[in-house]
Amino acid sequence: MATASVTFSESSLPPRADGFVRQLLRHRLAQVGLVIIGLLIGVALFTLVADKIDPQFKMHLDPNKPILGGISELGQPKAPGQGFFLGADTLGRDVWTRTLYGTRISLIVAFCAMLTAVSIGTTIGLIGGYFGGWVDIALTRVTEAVLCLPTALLAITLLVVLPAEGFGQRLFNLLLAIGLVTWTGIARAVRGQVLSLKEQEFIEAARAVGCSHTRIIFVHLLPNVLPTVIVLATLATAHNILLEAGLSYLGLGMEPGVPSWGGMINEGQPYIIAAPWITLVPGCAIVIAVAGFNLLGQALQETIEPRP
Amino acid sequence: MRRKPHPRPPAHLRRAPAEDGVFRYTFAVRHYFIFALLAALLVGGCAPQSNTEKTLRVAVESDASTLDPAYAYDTSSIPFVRLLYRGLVDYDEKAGIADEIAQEHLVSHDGKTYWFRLRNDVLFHHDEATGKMPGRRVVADDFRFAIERILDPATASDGLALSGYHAIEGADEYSEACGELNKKIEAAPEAQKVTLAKQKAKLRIKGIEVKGDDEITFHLKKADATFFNYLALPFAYAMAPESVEKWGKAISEHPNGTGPFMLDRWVHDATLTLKKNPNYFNPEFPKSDRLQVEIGNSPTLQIMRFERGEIDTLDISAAFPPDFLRLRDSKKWKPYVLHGPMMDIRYLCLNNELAPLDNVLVRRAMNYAIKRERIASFLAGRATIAHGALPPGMPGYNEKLFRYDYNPEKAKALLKQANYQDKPMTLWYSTREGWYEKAAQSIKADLKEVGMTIDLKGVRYPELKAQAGKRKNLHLSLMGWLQDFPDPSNFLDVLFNKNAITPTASQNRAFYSNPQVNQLLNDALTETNREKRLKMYGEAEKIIVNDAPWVFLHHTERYVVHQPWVKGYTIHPMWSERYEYVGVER
Amino acid sequence: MKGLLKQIGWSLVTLWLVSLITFSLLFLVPLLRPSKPGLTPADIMAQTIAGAHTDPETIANIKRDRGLDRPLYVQYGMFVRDALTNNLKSYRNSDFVFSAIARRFGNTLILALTGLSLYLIFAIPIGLFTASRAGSAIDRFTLFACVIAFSIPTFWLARLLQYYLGYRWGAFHVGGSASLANLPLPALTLGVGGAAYYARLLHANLRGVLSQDYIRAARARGLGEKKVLWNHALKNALIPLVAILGMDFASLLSGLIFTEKIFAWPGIGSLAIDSVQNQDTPMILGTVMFSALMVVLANIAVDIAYRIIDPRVRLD
Repeated sequence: MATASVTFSESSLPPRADGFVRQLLRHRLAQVGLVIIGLLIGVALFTLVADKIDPQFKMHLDPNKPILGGISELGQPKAPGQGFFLGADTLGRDVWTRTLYGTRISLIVAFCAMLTAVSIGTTIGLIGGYFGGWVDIALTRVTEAVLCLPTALLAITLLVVLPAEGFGQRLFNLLLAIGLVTWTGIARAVRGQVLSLKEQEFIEAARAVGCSHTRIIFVHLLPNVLPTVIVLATLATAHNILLEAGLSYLGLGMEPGVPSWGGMINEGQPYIIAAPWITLVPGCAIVIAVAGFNLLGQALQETIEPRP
Repeated sequence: MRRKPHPRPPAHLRRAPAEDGVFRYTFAVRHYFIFALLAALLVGGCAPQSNTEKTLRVAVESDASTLDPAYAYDTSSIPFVRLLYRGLVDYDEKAGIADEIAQEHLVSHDGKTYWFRLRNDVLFHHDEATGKMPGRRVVADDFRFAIERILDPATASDGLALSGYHAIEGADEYSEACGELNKKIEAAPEAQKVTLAKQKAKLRIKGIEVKGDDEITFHLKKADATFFNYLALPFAYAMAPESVEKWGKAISEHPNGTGPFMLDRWVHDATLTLKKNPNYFNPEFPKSDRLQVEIGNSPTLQIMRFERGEIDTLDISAAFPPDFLRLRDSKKWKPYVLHGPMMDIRYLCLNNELAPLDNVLVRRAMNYAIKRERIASFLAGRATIAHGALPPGMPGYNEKLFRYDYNPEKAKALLKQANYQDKPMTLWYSTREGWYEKAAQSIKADLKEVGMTIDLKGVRYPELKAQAGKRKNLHLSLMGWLQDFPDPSNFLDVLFNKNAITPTASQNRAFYSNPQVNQLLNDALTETNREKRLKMYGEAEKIIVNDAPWVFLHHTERYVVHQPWVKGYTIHPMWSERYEYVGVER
Repeated sequence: MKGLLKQIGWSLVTLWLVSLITFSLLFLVPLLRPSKPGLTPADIMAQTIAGAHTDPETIANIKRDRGLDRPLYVQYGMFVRDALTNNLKSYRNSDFVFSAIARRFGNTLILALTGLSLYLIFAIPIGLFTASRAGSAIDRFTLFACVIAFSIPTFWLARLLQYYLGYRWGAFHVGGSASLANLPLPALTLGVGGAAYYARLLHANLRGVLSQDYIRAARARGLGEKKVLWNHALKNALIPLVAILGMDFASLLSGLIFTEKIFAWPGIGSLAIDSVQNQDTPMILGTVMFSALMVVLANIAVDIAYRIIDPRVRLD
């Protein structure tokens, strides 16, 4: 086995891990991306902890609490500045607090949906690419078919069809809907890589030694496609945040009370003339979060497969 | 959403360049400029559209549900159906009955016979067989046909459930006979279907008597003072039997009526265009040549477009208060803001059958405890505080009627007198409109002041309607009622008469029943003298207010703003829009 | 030629799979996880058709008339037959699904093509500019800005453009119908993200191309830098983008859903979202099938384009 590892580390594996990390950390885009992602995770954890430890604290930070004076008698929300950092929404709630709390749902959904998509995509890509023949043809066709469908439309249809009651089920539906429509890119890329890896000596050597299919797939192929999968997974997380926001924007996301960025835009847009900040603030949050993952993804891609 | 991540194109897709490096054509450069030019044309060539003919432009959010009079029972369809079709009678400016296609009418002294003579110059839009314009003359039989059509259960018209059409003698029998034949036709083999259908076509309603082309008489089972209203609703508008036969259900897409406008083009969920009917019997109408309705415009988009002058009229009755105030109070639009009563009532429905609300003292106390001015203020001045159930503008509206004014002290005293023990009750409201939620919170706070505890539960409107219609189910529900037609019976009879109580789908959601009121309401329905009738309703309303089955909150106001070049727009007590009266003079 | 025929054959298989996937999504998934016990998907669909008139007899009649009480494979057969003969009818009104789509297709095509042109109009100068100054601060900043730009959610951008450029600034029409005047903002909405994305791709391709020998040769022969960039490098860098453009057609359609809805642009996207929200099953099936057909056709077109541009290239 040792010989096999040596063979591929020279041909297609990324540079040694520690060198890779150092290289990544030197990358400007990666720095910005990592800072953003770190902040997002920090905020999400902070809101989780804030809920748990201190009920007194929660009083000030409850995203669903209408704050006295947040709206005038006629329903005009307070503009940013006047006691509200980024303004109040039409129910007198603090837009800034709600935006912070929205991080949670966005990250959880995007990350878990990414995991779903990665597991489906990698499995299908590995199996199709490795076994070839009819299995490959069938899997490729299914991949192509799903690839032809507009992701948003497919996810929307799925969410409308699935029954949604309560927090858990809605969360599960979101993960499922996003995961089931975004795996195709990963499957394609993995299959392509496996096809070329299959021709290489170390796989043939492994076969000659008598390794089982499972062993070859998991021990020999999987580590080699991992770099590509990581790049695509990072980019997919960015895409998932957008998709989750889009679905919540259509009212198909979490329940109305749960703060989510897309949901906030959905609630705020009828009042865009009188209170544009309700729409503006969560949108900026989405852009920052998505950009964070996109920047990291780009940097990873450039570090793993450097361009001339 | 955004694009999927995909890897860089495989190496073999990157084209191997020609070795000498000489490219004679400048592919990219030329094509870039062609793209740029194309885009510049598309983007830059956007001069405002010129309007040579007078087009009235409006924007709405949802598509008209139908253009078939038999199904026109909601605000998305009625305004357009009544432009395409017309009935025997219509409402005048003050919501009184006026002749339309009828040129004269008579009602017998006992109020049981209605006779009409038709105008002889009313034509259908086009001839169904040849497609030529105009079509044939409207005859009395077309009205008989329309009413028989809605009473046939196979049509599944919304009009079938309205009591007014069943007041005609023989209507119930006709409906039943049709239903039985429908079942037979369903079960019969193909060959027999035609004969059975012919048999069905021969069925007649006994109480509708057609004499020649010009005269039609309706015989009622018993006097019904509201019968005219049912003839003025779209259900009873003249339909050409040959058109219905040709198109079947698709008549909705191919209307052939007698109204001031004709259908030009209808693309579902996109646009609805009506054009002037040049052969309309009243040459003064319509005032504009074309009515263009753009569908799918969200309320915000409508406001933006109105302020940019892209649409001509805008309903701001339900606009967000800050937006509404900005338009109403701006110098530019102030002169063009119109308002009138919506003819509705918003109320807190108290279940009169459930303790502690079965006690009149508790109900009165609640009427005193709730500050209705504050609830009305959520609509930014688009509301009038209610005395009783009848809205201003309604015949029989009494502005001197007793009103429960905000008085928490008195409320507390009444509760004490009633020996009220505080036990939480749940108030159900609809999440459809922001007002309901705010009003519910306000009510909760007010009742807390006098020592009553209320929990809130927001649900979707269909569920609220279903739950509130069940007997002994909900204690409190926040409700609204909008008239079907401007007659006091449409409020008092529907909402307070014992007749309107059913076990599962009650309209009388307070489950209020006072024998004296029931008697007055039943008598008023058959009373033919208008003055006497209105007096009876007045008396009934007085008793109702005294019994306080609801907390009467407020009546809302319709607000419309139009462009300076729009002429002739008025707010009508019955029809939400009367586009045939509206002209544009740019 | 043979390769093309083969590809068309596979495309038909793809379309058949698409129909199977969407059909089972709409008919099978609700059967596996019913939203209310005892309420079958057929009941819900019949209710959609019936509208307000919901007595059990009407529902039963509708179910029988529309074949909703038949076994699923029969219904699938009926769906395929109706789809092929244009007999698929909306549940909400008497529209034929493909007629409704045909009426709106022109609108969507104009919007999509304008959006695509904007991709290239913005992407080409940005790509050229940054690639010729590779590594400079302005290059890195532009590329960073591009990442930000393609991270913007379409629906949010649409609202902002509508409000700020249309309503506040007043320079553009805010939408409301399909007209030339209403075209710029929705097209821009589609264009911004795509342009940024393609600018980055083009930048990468250009850098690859610029390091090739023939470019050095051209420079060595004394051709001006501008000429080298525009005439030689750009064409070669653009060609790979054509392939991606074909694949991106599906995501463009996804973007159209939000853009069309917000600007009330009556196209396929708004039709799709309206029919999903109204649970108009045949219309959903129709729009999904149609968009898949568009994507398949776009891919075939790209393939043909490739064969014309460079006969040596084969797409897999």
